[in-house]
Amino acid sequence: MDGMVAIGAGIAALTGIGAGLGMGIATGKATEAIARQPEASGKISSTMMLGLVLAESTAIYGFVIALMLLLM
Amino acid sequence: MKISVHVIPESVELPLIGSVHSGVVISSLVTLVICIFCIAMYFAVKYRFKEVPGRFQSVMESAVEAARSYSRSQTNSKVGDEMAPYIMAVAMFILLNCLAEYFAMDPPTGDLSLTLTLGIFTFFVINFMGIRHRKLSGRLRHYIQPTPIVAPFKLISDIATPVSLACRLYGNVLAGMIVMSLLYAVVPLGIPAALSLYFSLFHALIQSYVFITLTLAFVREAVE
Repeated sequence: MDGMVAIGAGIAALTGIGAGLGMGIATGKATEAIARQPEASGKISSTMMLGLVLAESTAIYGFVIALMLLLM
Repeated sequence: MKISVHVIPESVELPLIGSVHSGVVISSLVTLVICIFCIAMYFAVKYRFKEVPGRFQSVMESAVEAARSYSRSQTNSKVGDEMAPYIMAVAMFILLNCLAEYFAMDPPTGDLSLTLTLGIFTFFVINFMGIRHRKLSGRLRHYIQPTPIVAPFKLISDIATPVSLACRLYGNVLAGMIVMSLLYAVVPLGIPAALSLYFSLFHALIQSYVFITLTLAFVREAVE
């Protein structure tokens, strides 16, 4: 039973894939945008931060669920 | 190897209140220490303010000014001025709570009860600002726009707001704590000191910034 719980926690941690892809794409696009328009860099980076945070939250949910599986 | 992280804390018996989770007791105590520190700072600093600012006073003034201008840039100038005190208070609270790790205290932000409290507070602030600026009818009308079919989904996403704010802060701080305790268990000397700059200091700054940015984004959505 313990082994199954560990496998489940590992699967829950796979949410990191989506978050990583999303954050990578967002940062890449933001870099392109800043390269095109360096004068708008302030606005671009604050918008990017918001997007990064929202993308990161899926990874955090996965992490919290994995912890709950392991420790409950 | 023992990693001291209280995810599901054991309960303790208190006089008057009865049985409470130990995590709640620890984070209440640490929060109390932080609040006493803040109040002491307030009284120590307030009566020394002068017309011509000294070095410390100019740092304080520029911090307050930064909070106001950031709050204004994320919303409009009227809502920004109203939100600035809340934003500053929450940012300083989260920052000090995360930095409690440096003073050998468990950071209370790594406890779901405290972050959920902050999330519910923010939920009330968002709804208060929405009702204040768009009246109750305007606040209720956004549920049926563009069509009434979306009402249940909008309701669910509104209720999910405090939970997602709370889980984000809790998860980030707890992840930092777990990584640091694993690191201390493997290499107890040297390297953790350098990495704790990232996992404790930088994470604390990022988390307070993220929390206020999201609060302002939700408020902007509510008042527009």
